[in-house]
Amino acid sequence: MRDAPILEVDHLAITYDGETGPVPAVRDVSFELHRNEALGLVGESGSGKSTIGLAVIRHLADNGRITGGAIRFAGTDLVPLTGSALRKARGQRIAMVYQDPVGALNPSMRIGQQLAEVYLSRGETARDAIRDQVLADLRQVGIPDGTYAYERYPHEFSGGQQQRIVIAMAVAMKPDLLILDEPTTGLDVSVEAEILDLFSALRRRLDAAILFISHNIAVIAKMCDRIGVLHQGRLVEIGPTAKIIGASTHPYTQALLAARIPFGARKQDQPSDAASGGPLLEVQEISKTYRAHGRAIRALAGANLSLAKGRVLGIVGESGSGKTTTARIIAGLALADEGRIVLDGRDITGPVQERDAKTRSALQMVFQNPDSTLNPKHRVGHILRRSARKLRGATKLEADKLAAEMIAAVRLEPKHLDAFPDELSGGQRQRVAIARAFIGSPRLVLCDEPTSALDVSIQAAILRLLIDLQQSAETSYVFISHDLAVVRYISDEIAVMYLGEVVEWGPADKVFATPHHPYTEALLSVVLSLEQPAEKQRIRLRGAAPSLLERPKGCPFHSRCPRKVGPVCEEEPPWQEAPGGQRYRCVIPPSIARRQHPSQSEPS
Amino acid sequence: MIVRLIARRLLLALGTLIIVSAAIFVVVEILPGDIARLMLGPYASAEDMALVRAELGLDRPLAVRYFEWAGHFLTGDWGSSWRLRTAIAPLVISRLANSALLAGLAIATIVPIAVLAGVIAAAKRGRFADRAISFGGMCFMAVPEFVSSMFLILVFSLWLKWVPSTARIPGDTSILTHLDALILPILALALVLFGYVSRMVRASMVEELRRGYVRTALLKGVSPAAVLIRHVLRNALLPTITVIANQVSWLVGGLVVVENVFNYPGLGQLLLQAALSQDLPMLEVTVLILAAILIGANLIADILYGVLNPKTRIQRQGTAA
Amino acid sequence: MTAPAVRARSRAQWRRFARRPSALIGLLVLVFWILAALLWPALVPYGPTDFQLLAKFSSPSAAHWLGADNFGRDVLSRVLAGSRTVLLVSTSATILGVLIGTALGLIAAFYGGWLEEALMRLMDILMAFPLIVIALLVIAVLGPSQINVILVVALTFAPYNARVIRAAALDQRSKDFVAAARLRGEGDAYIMVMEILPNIWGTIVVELTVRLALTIFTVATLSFLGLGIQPPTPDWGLMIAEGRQYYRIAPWIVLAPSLAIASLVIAINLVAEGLNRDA
Repeated sequence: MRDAPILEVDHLAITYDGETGPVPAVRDVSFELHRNEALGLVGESGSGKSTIGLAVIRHLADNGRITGGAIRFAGTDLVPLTGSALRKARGQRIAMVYQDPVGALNPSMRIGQQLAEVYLSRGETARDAIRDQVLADLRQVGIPDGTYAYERYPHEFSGGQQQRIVIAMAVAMKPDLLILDEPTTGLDVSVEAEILDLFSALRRRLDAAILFISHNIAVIAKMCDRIGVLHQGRLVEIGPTAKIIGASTHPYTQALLAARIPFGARKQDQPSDAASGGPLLEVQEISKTYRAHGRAIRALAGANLSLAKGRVLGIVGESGSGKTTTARIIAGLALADEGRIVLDGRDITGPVQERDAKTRSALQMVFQNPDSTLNPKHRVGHILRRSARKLRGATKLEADKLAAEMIAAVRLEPKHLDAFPDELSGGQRQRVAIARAFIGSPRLVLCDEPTSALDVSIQAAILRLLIDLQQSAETSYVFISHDLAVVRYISDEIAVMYLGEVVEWGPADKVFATPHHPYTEALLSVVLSLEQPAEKQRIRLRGAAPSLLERPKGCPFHSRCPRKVGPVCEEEPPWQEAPGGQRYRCVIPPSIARRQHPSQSEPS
Repeated sequence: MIVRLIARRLLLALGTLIIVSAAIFVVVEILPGDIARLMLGPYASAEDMALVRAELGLDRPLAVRYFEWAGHFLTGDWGSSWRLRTAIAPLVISRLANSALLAGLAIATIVPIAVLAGVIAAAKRGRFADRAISFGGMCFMAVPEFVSSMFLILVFSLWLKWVPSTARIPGDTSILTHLDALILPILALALVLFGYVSRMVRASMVEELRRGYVRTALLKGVSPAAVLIRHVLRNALLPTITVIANQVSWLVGGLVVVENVFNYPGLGQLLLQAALSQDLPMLEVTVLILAAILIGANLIADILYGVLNPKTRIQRQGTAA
Repeated sequence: MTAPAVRARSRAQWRRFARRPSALIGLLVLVFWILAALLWPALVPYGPTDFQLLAKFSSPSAAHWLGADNFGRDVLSRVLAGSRTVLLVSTSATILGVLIGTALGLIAAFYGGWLEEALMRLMDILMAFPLIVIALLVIAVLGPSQINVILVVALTFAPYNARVIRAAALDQRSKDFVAAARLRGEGDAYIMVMEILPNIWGTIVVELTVRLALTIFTVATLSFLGLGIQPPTPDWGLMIAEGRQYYRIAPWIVLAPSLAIASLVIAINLVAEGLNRDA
């Protein structure tokens, strides 16, 4: 006999008043959520999942209206209530943790005060007791030095720590319903793993109902008992996690699952005549230090890379690793303080303005954000024709022809040539950006998170497009991504970066199967995917990533390394070579490193 | 940290002041052309002009003349007015005091009201109160002070007969005994101020209300009023400080006009008369004094901002994940 | 998706503007004054500078809709005629100021480095001063005339404009499509004009409108103080300056031009607000 549900959403309908008229965001959605149960709402952009979360806490945007249905919290319908009636019905019993932790905290109030407010708003007045309670709350979420933290402001913490503080606030409310809206999106993979662990631990203590909203189905599968799939405002399928993932009956869910890049999958390998002539690209010892407010931030501290013709080099790393800086330096959009960039034997170090046309057409870039990658005032055709003219010296007729060819090559239609970017979807814009990069027949294309801002169902298509283009033109890629599944899929070789240095590189399959550097090993162990066994041993890293202002001496990773050997780690670690072409910087020799690592499962 | 901030800003302010004084000097001494002719009038003879030039040392290099003038200024020797033929210093000081009174009263009365209005407009955004306050603020801001002064005189002085229309104080009595004469000038000044400050506060508050911490606070059970006052206001007021400093600049301009309309014996009127009669020494001194005040106001605003903003006050020790 | 799309776009923009009744009213009033400025010779019942000594101080009547001033000049005619002076001088000063300001703002945003630092410091210093004071200083020294007013006002406004344009341009400069343009070898001039400028048009238009209101404010104030437009050119600021001593016996002399100025600046501000939602 089950208790009544904590949350009952009954035929909910929500509309936004847009520029061109009302836009339905949520259509006839119904579901129930009981105490101690975790329900995940998964969907792509525009599915309405976040809108539902906002509607439950009645914090829709100014132009959003609930046009139908009921939201019953502990039996009371919240929809018709406003003001103090709403506050009374809600009490402190609904808590929310959402994507942007720094936004959730008041920047000019000390966090101790913000946490104490939870208790003060309940009517408690004993200051000392409250303070003790706050310190306990902080400890519970993994911020042990509470007295120090109590007096600090939000901006003095890292993103992961800020999210912990937000979680502490939510938990302190002793809610009956906890809503999580993309709580780990935007955090580094290792930090995400810790936060998810924290949720799991807290869940047992919380005794609350959890509504987990995310676009990431692997996260939802791990954290939730039941899953609801949303598509364009409708709940197309809902059921226990195992059933949805393993035996879904709805075509959309099946398509969504099929569209993912499963971890461990690889593209069709093409035989290549590699090593014909030297490497196409060499990055030699580049360093870059940014100066801000009189402080020096060492973004790159001597990074080295090498890429053969026709091959794909994937660069992985978390924030602060320097991967984006590296790409911008290779592209000539940023200047290195030291080091050289060599393309096909020619030194091209320096700003892009100083390169000749031949080099420029040989080296192009695809950017992350489809909203800013195309000039909104230029038509697609103009963008492509102009690139053809500048990169290949094409005449007007030749440019027209090339533009038409490229549009077809990226699987768009000729009519798209006349469109403005805001008439295209995110995926379509990214295709245009790819066409723009390829129209000059480049030899090397830098891809900086090209699919990260796209919906899951589009990502796979764009990746396959990139691979097809790469293989047919024998172009090389430097592919940067934080998503390890994607990198594994597309890369021939991998470089792992940490704090501005390359710590390991080698053939992709080797690095993923037998990582030698402790950081690589830790990174791979926290990857969350539907394919990994459920309770895999996860490597916890001690502490937070050190600041770029205070680099550890010697090996950049030693302050957090679970395999730290001793004081010898505080000296510059040597490059070690493992069989199969892997190279990594560590004092632990390959034979010992391999023995200590459990063998990873081979790709299916 | 804070001491360094203040010291840096102070140096910057002083540097600006020096550059500005040089600019004023150059403009006044160079642009009119022949100063001697200006001083003596169009019918002066060549010998008289030569005499004056020699006496004033107009043949010496510009830099020398500048330093001499700057030196005099710093030691309190501010020269004498061509028009009034009296020493400038005591006149300017007393007028300055009068203007400061007017401006000070205007700021003190209207800024709290404007902030309140901005908060109300933001809290009730989109509704009637907001639209009324925004429209009213815009009107006050857009209409030139002399026009609104005229309206004020016509309504309150001519039609309603509540207050006098000039602020001309008989010579030896103090202003403080004629406070009712100050009401209209203060009001005229205050209206423009109200427009700017209330709009700024509203915009700032609306921006802050969109932020996530408002959501968090509401969920915690904090009442909307408390959210507004305790959380949002302190974040919204920070950029407002800069605006208020800018308003000092507008106030000075407003003073010139308002003092003229109401015949108030302040620095603005002095400046205007100096400009109209091309009384160069007076012009130099008054503009420089005003410049110093404005630079000072900006300096205070900068420092306040730095001190009150926790992000600048406490620099994080670097960024990581 | 071509020409029809562009037309649909502009229609949508007009609809957004027109949806605010205040913006429409502002536009109507503005159009009224523009027409007055253009057509006043055909509209005025009397010449604006005609002395009609018999009608001195006459209150509003059928013969003189807005009354007559101390010289018997018809107030209505003077107000209508004055619109041309106000709009001509102010528009010239605004356009000049925005041209200079936009150029400076674009250059500063684009080239960065010490050039930007130097320009911005200069602007900061200039902006620390009320326009009136600078105008006073310069015009006192140079002498009042229409040209001087236009030049001084334009130059003192340019820094504000430069600031706004610079911020907008900086915002665009960091976008990926600018990086893409660099990667295909576009030069500085091309990027400034073809990539960045089209995206800040909206900002520029709003700036023009806002500046116009402020320019009218300043020009009118300068005329009132005696530093701007000189008699006998009919001008609203001058009318108020000349007429204010008679406010007890003939308030219409100052009321009419005051209402004219107020209506014009408020109208422009309403139009600016309407445009701003749009940009």
